[in-house]
Amino acid sequence: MTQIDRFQRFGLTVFLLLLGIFFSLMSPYFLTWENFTNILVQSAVLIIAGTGMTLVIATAGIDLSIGSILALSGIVMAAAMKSGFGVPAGAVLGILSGALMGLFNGIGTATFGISPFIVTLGTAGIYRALSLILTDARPIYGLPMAFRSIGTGRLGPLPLSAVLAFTVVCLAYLMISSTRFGINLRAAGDNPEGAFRMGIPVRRVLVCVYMLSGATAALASVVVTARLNTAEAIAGLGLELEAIAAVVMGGTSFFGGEASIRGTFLGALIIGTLANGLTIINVPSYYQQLVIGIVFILAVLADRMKRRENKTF
Amino acid sequence: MNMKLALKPVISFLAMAMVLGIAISGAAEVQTTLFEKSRSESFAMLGDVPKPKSGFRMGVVLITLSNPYWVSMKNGYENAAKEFGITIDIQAAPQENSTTAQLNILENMVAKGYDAIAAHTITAHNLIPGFVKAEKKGITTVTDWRVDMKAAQEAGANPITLGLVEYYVQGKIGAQYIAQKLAKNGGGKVAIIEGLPGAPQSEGRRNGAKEGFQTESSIEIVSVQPGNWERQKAFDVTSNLLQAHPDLKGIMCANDIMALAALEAIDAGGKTGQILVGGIDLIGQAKEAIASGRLACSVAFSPFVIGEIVTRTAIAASQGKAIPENLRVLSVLASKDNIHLLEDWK
Repeated sequence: MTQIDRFQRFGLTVFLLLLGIFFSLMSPYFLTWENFTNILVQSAVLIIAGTGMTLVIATAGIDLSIGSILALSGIVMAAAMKSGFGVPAGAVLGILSGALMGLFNGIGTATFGISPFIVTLGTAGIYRALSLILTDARPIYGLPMAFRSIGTGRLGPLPLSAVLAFTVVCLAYLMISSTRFGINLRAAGDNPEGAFRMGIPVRRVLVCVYMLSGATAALASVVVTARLNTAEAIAGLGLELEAIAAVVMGGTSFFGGEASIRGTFLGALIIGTLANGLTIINVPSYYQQLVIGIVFILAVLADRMKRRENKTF
Repeated sequence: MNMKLALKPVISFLAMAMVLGIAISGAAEVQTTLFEKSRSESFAMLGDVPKPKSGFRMGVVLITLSNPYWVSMKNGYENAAKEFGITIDIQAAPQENSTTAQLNILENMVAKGYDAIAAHTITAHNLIPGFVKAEKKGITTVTDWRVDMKAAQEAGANPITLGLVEYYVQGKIGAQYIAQKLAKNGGGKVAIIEGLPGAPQSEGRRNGAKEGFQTESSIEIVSVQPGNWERQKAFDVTSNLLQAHPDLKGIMCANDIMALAALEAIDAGGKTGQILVGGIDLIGQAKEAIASGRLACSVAFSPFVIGEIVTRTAIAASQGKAIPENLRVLSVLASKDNIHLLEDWK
């Protein structure tokens, strides 16, 4: 881990703490256990989807289709459960469908060499359209209680969805830092040509990365669908942009080669805390989007300034 | 002496202002506008609202604030809050389909602990987990008919649901007006342009329009077509209707946007003034079209009063007052005869 990395994560943690202190001072309702768990539940989807997006961006790619994958995989799992598959089978089917959608993204990018921006922009439209066509824009609701508890249940004092999100983060962290695949992934992102010459199966790595991104989007869909007790074609609109924001705030560079899972985790928590805190202190909704936009640019700007210190230009 | 001279214009100005003031207030007494009338009739259905306890705090979750309908409703909420001296906090989802973000807002408000929360849900289910949490905290919740009450009760929530807007009546009074006008000249063929098929607002207005037309035996409904609430679609549908039924005499549309598009299509088809067109919502452009005689009628209802009446309901219910069923925000037919009384409609 380089000096910058450590400084930046420290910076994000401090920023998150300052944000928490600010909101606690502004409102007596912010610093309560109930509200804390609210923030965790509300950030869980972004943490899970953002983790997948981190892997993609670490390969200098992008996945604009995760919002659409969330909608379509949610519809797959809800339809499966409604038609008699059990809860585990339905959820697994949904996640597999997400991985399959990611596979198509991976094939388009790695095998056919089309820019990931274009491939996933295209599939984003396709998956969203399929969601609308399959459901006729009607929501699927009334899911089994066992499934809904993933969205609303608790494990001890912690919300289940937050536990799920932590688990995903830990697994991804271990994968990136201490597996062969993690090393290959970063190498492929840093210098695909060089990695290829070194014998790293770059194309296979890329396909796997997009499949993982699709699978995490589908896992995020498990949380959303269970929480709302509804699968609908409009679910997850704009999720890709929020996920990219969390990743970039977390310090993962668009140019590939590095992946800060912890940074994304903190970035997602900052976005979740902002949205929660601004409601709690009752900032009008027009201004909330303004504040979130400004904070995002400031966070990235602070990051760039720190990096520039180590460069000559 | 100088002093007196200086005062003279001031005194005469004050005198003039007083006369003018009396004249204006006098005029206002003579003409109670339709807005005031329908507003007080809607309030009367709920009856007296007990005075809220001091420091009463209410939270409101709207669907969005990105169009004038919701901004007007927000103003209604704020007006009621001022009238009753309560604190009101209003939040909205960033977009019309941000279902999860809307639930997050509701849950954050529940955590904040209001005396009452009113929430206008985006879908039938997205706010139910929030209502459950509010129920557990003993917060009075008010919502609209769109919530799936069966699912809500199963989950353990029991919000007060209001069906404030009478979509059926709106379609009916509009079509009835057109039917009566046509019947005086021997009746004829009419058509209905509905909104998005399957949407409850659209279904209500369409069925109401059918019934409204059927009140006159000389009227024949030749076609019911979907216009998807859109200008372009309604324009095309109207053009096709004119082709299929050259002797068409009237069209009732499920909203003003489609009615205005129908008028354009009628102009383009060279039939200006030969077909009576009605809309619903009384948007600004429709007001002008009615005043100039192009649009036959529209139906006005007030999102402002919705905000007011929901606030009153929340205050009353949180103090144990029973809320009458079928509370309504009255819909008013707007035509050339009364458009001058609808200028302050909001």
